[in-house]
Amino acid sequence: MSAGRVIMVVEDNPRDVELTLRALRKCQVPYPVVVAHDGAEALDYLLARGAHAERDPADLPWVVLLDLKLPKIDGMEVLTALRANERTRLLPVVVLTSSVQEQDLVRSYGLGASSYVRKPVESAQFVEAVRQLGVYWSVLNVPPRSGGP
Amino acid sequence: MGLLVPSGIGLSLVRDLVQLHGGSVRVAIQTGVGSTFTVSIPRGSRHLPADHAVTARTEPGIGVAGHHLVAEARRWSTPAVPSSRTSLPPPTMWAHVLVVDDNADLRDYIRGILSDHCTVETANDGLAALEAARRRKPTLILSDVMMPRLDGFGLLRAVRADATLRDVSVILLSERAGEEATIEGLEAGANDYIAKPFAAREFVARVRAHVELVRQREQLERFFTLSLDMMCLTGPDGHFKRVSPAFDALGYSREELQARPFLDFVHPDDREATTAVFDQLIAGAPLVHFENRYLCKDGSHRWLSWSCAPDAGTVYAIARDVTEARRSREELARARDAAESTNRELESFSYSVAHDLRAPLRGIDGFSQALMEDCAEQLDATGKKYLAFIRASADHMAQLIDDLLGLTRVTRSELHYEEVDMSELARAVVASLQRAHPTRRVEAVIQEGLRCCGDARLLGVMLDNLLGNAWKFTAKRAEARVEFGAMERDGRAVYFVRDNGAGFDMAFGNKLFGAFQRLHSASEFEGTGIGLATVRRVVSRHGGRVWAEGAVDRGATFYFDLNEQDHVE
Repeated sequence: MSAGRVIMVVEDNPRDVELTLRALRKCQVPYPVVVAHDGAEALDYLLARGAHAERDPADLPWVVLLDLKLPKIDGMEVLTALRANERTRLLPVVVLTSSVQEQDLVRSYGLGASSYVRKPVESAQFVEAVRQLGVYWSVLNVPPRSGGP
Repeated sequence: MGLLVPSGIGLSLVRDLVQLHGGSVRVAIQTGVGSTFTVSIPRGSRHLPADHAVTARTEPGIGVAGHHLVAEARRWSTPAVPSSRTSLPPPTMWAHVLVVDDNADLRDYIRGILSDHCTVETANDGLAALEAARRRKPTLILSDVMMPRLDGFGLLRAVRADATLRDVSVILLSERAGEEATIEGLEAGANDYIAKPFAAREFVARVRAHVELVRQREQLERFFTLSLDMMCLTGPDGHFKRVSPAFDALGYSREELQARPFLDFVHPDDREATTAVFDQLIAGAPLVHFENRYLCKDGSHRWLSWSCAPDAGTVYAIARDVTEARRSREELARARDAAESTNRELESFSYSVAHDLRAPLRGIDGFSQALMEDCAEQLDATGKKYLAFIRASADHMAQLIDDLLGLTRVTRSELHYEEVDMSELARAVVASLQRAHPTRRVEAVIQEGLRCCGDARLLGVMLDNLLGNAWKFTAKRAEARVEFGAMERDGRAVYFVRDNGAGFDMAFGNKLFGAFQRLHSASEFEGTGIGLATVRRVVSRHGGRVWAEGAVDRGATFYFDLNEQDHVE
C-alpha cells in the first residue's frame, strides 16, 4: 500500500468542494484530499502529464469523486479518457450527480462509473458508495458495525 | 347461259355452284311483281367427274349455298332503301360506314347487307366521299378502286392527308383479285382489301372486325386524351413523337414540344441523369421509374415522376406531376427538423435546469445543515428555527425542480405500450406511501384485476400523483379512506381514485389541472401544484381525459379513461 495515496475530488463549484470536504472529514477519511477544479486538471493529475508531469503515474488515488458538469473537459469525457487508459482503467470513480436524472446515471454507468453519489455529498451517502466499491476498509478508518459487510 | 346476273355477289355464287353441278339457272322477271329463279340440276352423279362425287351426305336441307340464296332473295324482295321493319335487330356495331362506289347496284347491295348492323352513307365517287366524310366523320370507308373524278387510291391519299380524317379505316373493294392488287392497296395505306365478288356474311364479318379495331384504337385514344398524367411517345432521335393534352400544363403548344429534342425541356441540372435513363431505355431496359424536373414556358419548373418502357425503338412514357407532393414532403421534413431541434433545446434546457438550478440550493441547504451541526451551541432557539425554515425552503425548491423535470419528462418521453396491471401498480404505490408515512392509518381499497394497455412507467407516475394526493388530503381524517377502481361507461373503462379527504370547491375545478395551480395553502397541505398537471399530461398522451368531482370537506374523486383501442396490437 502506497503511503502517499489520496482521495481526489473533481469539482468546480467552491461551495460544493467545501461541503464535500466537510462530508469526508465527517466520516474520518484518513487520507489527504486532492481537489481538481476542471476536467483537464484532473486528467493531468491522474495521467501524470502537463503541470503534473513529474508525478509518478502509478501513484493513483484510492477513489475519484467526479462531478459531471465541469469546465473545459466535462466529467463524461474524463471518465471516457480514464477508461481508455490501461493504467486508470480500473480506478474507482464515483460520479457526483446533481439530480438522479436517469440519462446521467445510464450514461455514466455505460462509460464505466463505479458508483454515484447525489450532491451535496453527505457522509452517509459517501460511506455507502465507498462500501459498494469494496475499497471500504482501505479508505475508511471507521470501526466495523454490527451486521456490516 | 345468257343470263345477266346483277352486280350482287350472291347470285354470281349461285350461278357458279349450279354450273359446278352441271346445271343451269334461269330467271323470269316481271317488274313490280317479282322474279322467279329456276335452277335445274341433273339427278345422279354420272355426269360429274368421278372424284367430285361424295355419297356420305344424305342429310336433307338447302346447305350453306342454299342459305345464301334464300338470304339474297329476301334482300331483293324488299326495297333497297333501309327498311323500317320493326323485327330488325338493333344495330350491332356502333359505327357509321361510308360506302363509295360508282355502281348504284353495288352501293345499294352493301347498304342492304350492312344496314342491319350500322348506319350507312353512300357516295358515288372519291370527291363526293371526301365531302361526306368531312361533313360526318365515318368509322370506316368502304371504297371501290375504279371510279370517275377521284378513284379509290386518290381518296385514300386525300383521307390520309386530312388531319381530322387520317385515322379513319379505309377498306378498298375491287374486282381485281390477286396478290398484287392487294399489296398495292395495302401499301397505299389501306387498312384492308376485299376482292369482289364477296359473300355477304364474310363481308359483314370483315367490316365488324375492322369496326372493332377502330373501337379499340379509339378507346386507347380517349384514355390518352383524358389522362391527367402526361403521356408521350419518344423516338430514338430524342424527339417527342406524340404528347398527350396533359402536357399543356407546361405551357407549350404540342408543336413547340415536338419541334425540339425533349432534353431541351428538362431542367439543366437533370439532363445528365435523364440522358442516362433514356440511353438505358433505348438499349432495351424493360421498365424505368425516375423523377426529373421539366421547365415550363413561364420559367418555373415542375417535378415529374416517370414510368417508361421502350417498344420497337419508341419509348412510351407516362409522367405524373409530383411538384406539390414533393413540396409538402419537404415542408414536413423541415417541420420535423424544427421540432427535433426544439426538442433538443428543451432537452438541454431541462438538463441545465436540473443541474444549475440545484447548485445554489445545495449551498443554501448544505451550509444551513453545516451551521446546525457545527455551530449549534452558538445558536439560540430562534436561530435554529430560522435555519430550519431555510432548509425547508430549499427543500421545497428542490421538490419544485424535481416535479417540473418530471412533467417535462412525461411530455417528451416516448410511449412504450404494453399490458399494465393497474391494480398491481396501485398496490405498489400505496405500499410505498405507507412506508413513507408509517404512522398514518389509511384504509386503501383497490379493485382487483384492472388491466389496461399503456406505458407502465408513465401510468405509475400518474397513480403516484393521484394516490399521493388522496393520501395527503386525507391526513386530517380520523378514518381516512382511499379507493382505486373502475367502471364501464360508453363501452370504455373509466378509472377513478376516490378519497374522503379535504375535497375541493367545484367552482375552482377548472384550476385543478394547471401547473402551479393550488387550491390549498401550503400551511394546510404541502405541494408544488405540478402533480395534477403531470396526471393530465400522462392521460392525454394516452389519448384519454381526466376530470374530477368533489366538495369541500367531503372528499374528491378523480376519473380518467385511456384510449387503449388505438394501441392494442
